[in-house]
Amino acid sequence: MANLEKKEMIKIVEENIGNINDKSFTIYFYIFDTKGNPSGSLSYIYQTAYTLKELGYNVCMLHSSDDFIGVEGWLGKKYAELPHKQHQTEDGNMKDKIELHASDFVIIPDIFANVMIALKKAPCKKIVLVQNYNWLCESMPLAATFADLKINDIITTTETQKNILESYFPNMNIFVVSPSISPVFRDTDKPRKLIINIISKEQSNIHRIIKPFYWKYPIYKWVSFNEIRGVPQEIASEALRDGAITIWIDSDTNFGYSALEAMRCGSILLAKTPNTLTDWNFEVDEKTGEKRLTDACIWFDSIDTVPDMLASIVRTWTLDKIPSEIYKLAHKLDNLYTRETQAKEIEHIYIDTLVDRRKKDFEEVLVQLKNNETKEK
Amino acid sequence: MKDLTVIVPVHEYNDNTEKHLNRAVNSFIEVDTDKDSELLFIGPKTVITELKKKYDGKNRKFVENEKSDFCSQINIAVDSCRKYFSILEFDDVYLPTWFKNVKSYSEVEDKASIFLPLTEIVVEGKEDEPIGYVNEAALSTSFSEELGYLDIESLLNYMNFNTTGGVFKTEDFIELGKLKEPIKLSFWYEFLLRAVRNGKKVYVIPKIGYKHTLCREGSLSETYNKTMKPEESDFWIELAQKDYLFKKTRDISHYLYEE
Repeated sequence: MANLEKKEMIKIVEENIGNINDKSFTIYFYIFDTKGNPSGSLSYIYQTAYTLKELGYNVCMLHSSDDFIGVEGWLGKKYAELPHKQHQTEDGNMKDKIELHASDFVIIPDIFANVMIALKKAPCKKIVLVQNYNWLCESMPLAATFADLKINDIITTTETQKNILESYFPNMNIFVVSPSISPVFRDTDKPRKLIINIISKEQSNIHRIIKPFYWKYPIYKWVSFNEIRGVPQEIASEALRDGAITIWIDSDTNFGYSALEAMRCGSILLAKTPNTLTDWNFEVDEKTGEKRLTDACIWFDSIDTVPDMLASIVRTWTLDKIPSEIYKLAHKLDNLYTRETQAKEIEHIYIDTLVDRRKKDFEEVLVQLKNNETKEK
Repeated sequence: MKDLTVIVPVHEYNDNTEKHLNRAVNSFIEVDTDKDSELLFIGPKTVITELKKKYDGKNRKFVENEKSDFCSQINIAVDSCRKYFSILEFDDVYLPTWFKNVKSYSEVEDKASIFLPLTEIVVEGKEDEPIGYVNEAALSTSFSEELGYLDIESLLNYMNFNTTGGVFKTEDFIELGKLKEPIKLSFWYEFLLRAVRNGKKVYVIPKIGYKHTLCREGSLSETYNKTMKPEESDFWIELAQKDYLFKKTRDISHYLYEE
């Protein structure tokens, strides 16, 4: 009986090694449905999945939304056409049958601590994806640890976050796979219109900017604003190329896709100071060694100061006196977060590191099993 | 801009004119970064003689004309202009990037016959504190159907437009019938109405191109401001709104304002 079990175990391990060798295993990504609204975090997951698919691996997007809208409207067809399954309904019942094998990988975003717990006994390799460690703090139960959940690996998106996570979880393997900005966001040689784009999750912020601006500066009541919200990337990028100025408010972000997109499109960025620094938005003062926010954008702490800043920027722009330094510094960031760099990192971390290590783990187990079998014989 | 002639109408030449004109011409030199635009002075013979002594040179033209009213000066000068022309009043200045902006916007808005700058309204001594803008309405999304372009309806309802510093396509200006000399005060407004009615596109570039000080001492606007009653200025506006339907200059003596 023990020999049969051992033989069975050897067969299973050999199958899993075989799955890895011939790429027949699957990498699953848990996703959330943003109901058609663009999301930098979600686009990151889809881009990772798509890149892995392009490298010849099986991927599958898992969701639990009964009326799943998906990403075609804002991200594009090629991402929407990745395999999708609804693993459970919104009231918790099983939906599409998913059989997880030991050779499979499941990438679980930081907000899905419930999934981490549910998969505790699953044979697959579980990896947590942390794009915003604040969400991890919110979703993880107080008493839970990754060791309990049999999770050893975290992928995060910035070195800044990696350092923070390493201080929380010194025994975890923490990897960085950078985000990327779509090439659809690019600058133009064409002259711009005096339109001010506003990007903010909170509608109230928009009112708090536009109305006081017109009240305080009636001589600028002709200046037009354009809210960028819920539109495909192509439309967003056109608006960013068209408009001279973009206001961005997202204090809670740990990265800032919209900010980089606006700068890449050559729009002057007026940005709310974030609560946390990330890899691209600070510089280190050479003399003092202190971190300070980059000069690639114009920062404000309080929305109440925006009308005055905006009036000054508008006038300066109409007079062609915007310092060229702002544009130069913004474009210095263009070489960061490209699709090519991200694709290399995905291959290096997911395939060369994690998949390869998984295979080596199986191979070690196989050797042990075979040695034990030999000894018993 | 090698296809551009800048018309400088000068009806008298004295110490005051000379001081302002120097400034204006220097602004032209600064804005003409390619050094290929042409400067055309027009005025009475005595004035032109003095101006030739000071400003003659490459890409300079001088046209003698004894008629002293602004419309006549422009109408005569355009016959000697290149493909595009602009008007630089002796007491105004171009901003250094204006021609560069005209070139870049005209490449995109290539159907336009007239390019107007956004203009700040400032009072002398407080040039850094604009009190308003001119031509700004065309840049508002709630103004005309096509952002930046004037249309008839908007022009009839909103008159705050000024052509100072504007760049005109010469051929279209002549085809439209030039300026109507009998019309005082609102001759540019009438011209814009006529241009748009006849299918010409007028585009406002969202850049300050020109500094025009309102009611500078001795200026035409100052004269009108001092001597013209409100009902008289209303009269000229209303006349413009009737007369733009006609390309040719008509006899308007029967309309003329009498006290």
